[in-house]
Amino acid sequence: MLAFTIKRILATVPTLIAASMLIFLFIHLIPGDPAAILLGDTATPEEIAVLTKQMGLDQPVYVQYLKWLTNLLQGDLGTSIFFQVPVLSVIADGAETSGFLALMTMIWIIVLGIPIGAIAATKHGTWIDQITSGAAMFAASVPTFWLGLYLILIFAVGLGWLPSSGYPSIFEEGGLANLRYLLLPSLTLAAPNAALIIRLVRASMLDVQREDYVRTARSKGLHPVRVAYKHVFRNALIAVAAAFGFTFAALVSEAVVTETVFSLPGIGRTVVQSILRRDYPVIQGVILVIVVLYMVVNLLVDLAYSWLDPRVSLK
Amino acid sequence: MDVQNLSISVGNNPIVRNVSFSIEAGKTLGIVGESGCGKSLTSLAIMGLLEGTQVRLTSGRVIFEGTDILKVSVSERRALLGSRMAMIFQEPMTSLNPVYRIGDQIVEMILQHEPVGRTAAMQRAADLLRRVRIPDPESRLKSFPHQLSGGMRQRVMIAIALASNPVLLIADEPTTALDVTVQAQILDLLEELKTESGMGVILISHDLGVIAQTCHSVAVMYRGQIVEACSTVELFANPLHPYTGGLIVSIPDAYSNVDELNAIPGRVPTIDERISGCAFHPRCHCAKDNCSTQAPQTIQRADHLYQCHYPLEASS
Repeated sequence: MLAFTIKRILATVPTLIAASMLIFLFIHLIPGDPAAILLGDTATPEEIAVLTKQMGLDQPVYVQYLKWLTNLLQGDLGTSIFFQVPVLSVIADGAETSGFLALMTMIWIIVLGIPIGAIAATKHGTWIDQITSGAAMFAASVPTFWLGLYLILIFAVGLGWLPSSGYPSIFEEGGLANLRYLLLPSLTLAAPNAALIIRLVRASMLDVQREDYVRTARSKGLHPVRVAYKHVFRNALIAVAAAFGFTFAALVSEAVVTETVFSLPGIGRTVVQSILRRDYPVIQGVILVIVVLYMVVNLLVDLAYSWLDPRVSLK
Repeated sequence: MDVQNLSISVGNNPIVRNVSFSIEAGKTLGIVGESGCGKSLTSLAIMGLLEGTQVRLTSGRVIFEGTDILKVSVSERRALLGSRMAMIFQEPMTSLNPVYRIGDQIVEMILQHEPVGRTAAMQRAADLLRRVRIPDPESRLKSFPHQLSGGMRQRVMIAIALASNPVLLIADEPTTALDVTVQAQILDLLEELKTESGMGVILISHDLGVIAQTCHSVAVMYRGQIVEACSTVELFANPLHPYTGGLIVSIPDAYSNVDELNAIPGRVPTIDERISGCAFHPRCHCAKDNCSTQAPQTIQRADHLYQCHYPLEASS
């Protein structure tokens, strides 16, 4: 398993280089001059030309790319054009918010998705199944921004139980209680993904229930709960593990919307603002970080897969 | 075990009608018939494995060790499964859970029915694998099912079934999915284990050859009914039902040179087809007018039961 992990990490290098090229090229395809945006409406063409030269944006794209790549290999993601601070510290500023948001969302997805899906499958065809399946369908179809706004309307504006926006760091006043600011955003973000997991757990458990080895388990005289848990659920989990890789990709794009709706100082909102400001180094840096995270998540999914299914051998 | 007038339906379609048979300790009863005649359903019904399907038991009694097991509570029934009666299935390739080690799957059965520790149960599991002639049982306990061949997996299934020394073993086409040499080994193994333990065996098969080799008595099923039942010797010497006759004639004979194999014309009717009179009459070469209107009753001649208006005669 260690050899496999090392091999997989090495295999990510070419992928990362290809990804970095694509990121760089696509961002430079976006029309708009960062120097002009930075200097504002009153800037003269001469001033813009000077700044462009200063930032090295007058050089050919491949030169700019190689320069960026060289710095990258030294751990330097460049300097934000807008903030005039290293990109890494811009990302680090948003990391706490986005990290906790992601963590809480994952917890919701697992805590809601897996048990509800399992209950729906064991109560297949009853009203419990119909209600949970219907609710899951609803949660999966509702757009993130709409759900977010309604949760704010009900729990923040109407009932006043939870804050509607913002997120003070847990290291500031309030400490861990500040995590309540992330309760509504994480629920919003979790809803469509938990719904997907509910449907998936239910469907694969119903599939597995028809397997011959489940009949064997029942013929051993095992209690139905043990059959459902040890034999049906355990095998259904294999299909669900694969879905978590995709869920992460969906989370990234939905997080951008959620952070905007709840005005959270996270990485997602940073990306949106940086795109509007044509802050190339920040956009490149964030997307690269997301690519790396995505590859890590998929590696973890593969490792989980081999742990769940002995037929999968890691070579 | 005594099965009396067992009937099974899917929705309003009766699939198995008034099936009765009995089986004694140390004996093997063969149930033979074409695919879809209700043999497997009958065995699943006896085991109580039809729960959660569209299939319903509509009538009948299954007397096992003096009680009607169709009347006892679900948990009492479950306590019998595995410990007093066990079953092996047609598909050894898919009947073992792919994510657990062989040893754990055998131990699960032992721990379910006996108050022993895990280590002792594991020791028993190794002994069981040795009993079903699996070489190097200690290391095999750690194998996953996909690392074993079909024949080996069926041996493991047999080991699981025997784990708590059942008095009745139902083997539902245990060799159908295996190639011929392995089939013979598995049948020999079942025979040996039966002799050793004195359990009763119900062997379900569509292969009369298999039945002839292993069973003391046979019940021939056609379309959900037992059309003929008697001892194996009597059945081959003196088949009375034209369907049985057809089955015996259609066994290929290695010593005669034929261009075409003998077969029963037509096919098994689907379950929603309604056939009046005798269910076999559209395919029967002996059928006369009343066969299509009047269902034959079960007739007993000595120890030989059959359902036919015009049985084949002993001489023919």
